[in-house]
Amino acid sequence: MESSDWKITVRDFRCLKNVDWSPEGVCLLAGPNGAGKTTLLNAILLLCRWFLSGHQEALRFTQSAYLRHLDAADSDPVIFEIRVGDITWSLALPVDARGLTASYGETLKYGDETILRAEMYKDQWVFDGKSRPFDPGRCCAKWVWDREEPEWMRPLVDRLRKVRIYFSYWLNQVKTPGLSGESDSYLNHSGANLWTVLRNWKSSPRKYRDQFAWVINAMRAAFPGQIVDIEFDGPPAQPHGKIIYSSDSAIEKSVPAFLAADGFLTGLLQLTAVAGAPEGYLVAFDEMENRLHPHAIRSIISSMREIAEERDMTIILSSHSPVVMNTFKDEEERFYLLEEHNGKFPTPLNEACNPDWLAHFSLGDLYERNEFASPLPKRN
Amino acid sequence: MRVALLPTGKAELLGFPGAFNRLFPAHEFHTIAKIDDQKHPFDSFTSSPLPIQATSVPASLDKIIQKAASELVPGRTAAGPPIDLLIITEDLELANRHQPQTVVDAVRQAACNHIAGLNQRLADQVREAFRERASFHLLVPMLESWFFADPVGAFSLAGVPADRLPPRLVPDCDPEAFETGDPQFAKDTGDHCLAWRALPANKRNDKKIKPGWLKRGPQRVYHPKDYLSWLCRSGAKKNCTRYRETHEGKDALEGLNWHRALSTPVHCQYMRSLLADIEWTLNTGLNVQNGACAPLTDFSRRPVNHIFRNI
Repeated sequence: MESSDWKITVRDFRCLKNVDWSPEGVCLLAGPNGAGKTTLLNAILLLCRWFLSGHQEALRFTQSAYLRHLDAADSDPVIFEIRVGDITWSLALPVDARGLTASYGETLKYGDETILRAEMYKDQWVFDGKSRPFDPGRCCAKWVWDREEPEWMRPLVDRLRKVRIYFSYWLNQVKTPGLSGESDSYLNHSGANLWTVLRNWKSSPRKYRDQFAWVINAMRAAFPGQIVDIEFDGPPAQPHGKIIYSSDSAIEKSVPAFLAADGFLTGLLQLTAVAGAPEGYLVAFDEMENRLHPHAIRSIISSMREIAEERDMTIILSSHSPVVMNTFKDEEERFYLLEEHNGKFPTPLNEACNPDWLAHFSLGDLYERNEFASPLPKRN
Repeated sequence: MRVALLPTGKAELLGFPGAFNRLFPAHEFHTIAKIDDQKHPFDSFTSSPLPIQATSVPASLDKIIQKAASELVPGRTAAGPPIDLLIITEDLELANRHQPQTVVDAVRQAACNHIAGLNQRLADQVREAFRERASFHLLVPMLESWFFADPVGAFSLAGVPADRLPPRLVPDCDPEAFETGDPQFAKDTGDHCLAWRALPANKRNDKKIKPGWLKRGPQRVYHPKDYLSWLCRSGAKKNCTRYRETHEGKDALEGLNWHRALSTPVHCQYMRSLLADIEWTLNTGLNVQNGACAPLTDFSRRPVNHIFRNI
């Protein structure tokens, strides 16, 4: 299956009224504050967690209150849906300001065939022609998957499993690491296990496909003169990074991680996050430009593009940075505005604006001048 | 017809439509701002000396050219009638007063650079649009010189008190070769600027507050805006003047009597070039160009290899 052969649909979730979106490759989300960039990433995560860990865990993570769009009627459910190839899995959530008010609706379809159906407010769901009681710990689709792992369902499950979203890193924990799983092989959402992950990659390059070397090379390009290698101190469950920044002389020069600049560590976290994502994964970064120099931004995005193409990954960046936007010149179809144009939301920039008109500008300039994704009211 | 003006000054941004509509009421004039709020004009690129024969041009000029091109080809959306004429205006500030050709060359170079970065199809369209429908004109040395060409009308709108009139320029002064002959202005040290003097020292030297003529030193005598600001001086104002581009400057521009301003055939040649360009396009028969146009920006004397209509 192509990585792009999926679509997420969201109706009336917080500030998102009506979303239909199929991101592919390295994509950018842009919009004014409050337009829904973070909320859209949260919607993806909520669907994944709903399936993998159950609705209570999903709602706990995304905060269960105020789920519904303010303009929606009280009777309108909040809808989430994901379609992967021929499989469509939908959730309909009856909510009030405090959260779920009753049992939620759920359907799973394979082509035209409805595999399972649970209606809102009912205490039974239907699968295989039989009514069944709900399992409080998992959704109905997960129940079907756990029962016999039907092969036709695998693309959906893979899509939901292969998602990692990074909102903001806990830099204090990166600088003074606490205990983490000794065998961690990818970056967790807080980034707190950074040194463990990098140490494991470095110690087993074959097992981890030279990911450590890729990260170091990408870091060298993004932060010239600031890094040649990373070494590790401390016990196995609590390693500390040591940044080697020069090996020209006989004596290696290094700084402990807690002295590294925040921007440097942010870049290292982002590159580690993408390097640790296997084939077909979706990795998202909310406001990836924070703390980074423009050169580092451009270099990191270039490295992300390289790995996204190699591994057929989708990387979603949300940003307010003109520098980030400028890297999407000639890729306007992957630059999504959180604005409605011709019934589309989000809208690819090349559909919101004439591509010939866009060709005259650097995209960051246009954003800076409120030509798109503007907080100002639209002109007629 | 639709005429768009892309200026680099606030008074022009706000006042050009009214000023030209009064002269050509059958046509539509609008200005293009840097930000879509009609408050921020594009940045000037002549406040520092431009290098001669440079292939790279100031970023602020690049942005002006990008915007101009995008307004002509293809327009942001398919909606709306096309622009018949787009005019970029820029001051020939004192820093570049000696080299108008260099400023014009920089504009031509910026247009070439922009076209070179486009795909072939779009490049051809923009090249043709620039040559057929876009002009570049200079305000020499700046908009306020026009008001000295019509002190009777524009000065009261600009807020100059009647007892300070007439302005004292050197004899037979062409406002575009502006030079005051007002000794009081030349030697003014701002003693009367009471509100400004009362500010703490660091605030007094804030470049946004310090009166322009006090910042300028001896060069002030060539600066029409400084002199106009001084004529509108007010000790009660922190910047020591009542003249504001966004208010008095806009009003004076809108109320400018074009015929009176162009009544001396050998004066205001750059201004006349601008008017003649618009008039020729609109074919109005107003004949305001009765007199000499500046050869450098004169539409009828454009070079064979012109990039814009007139340069």
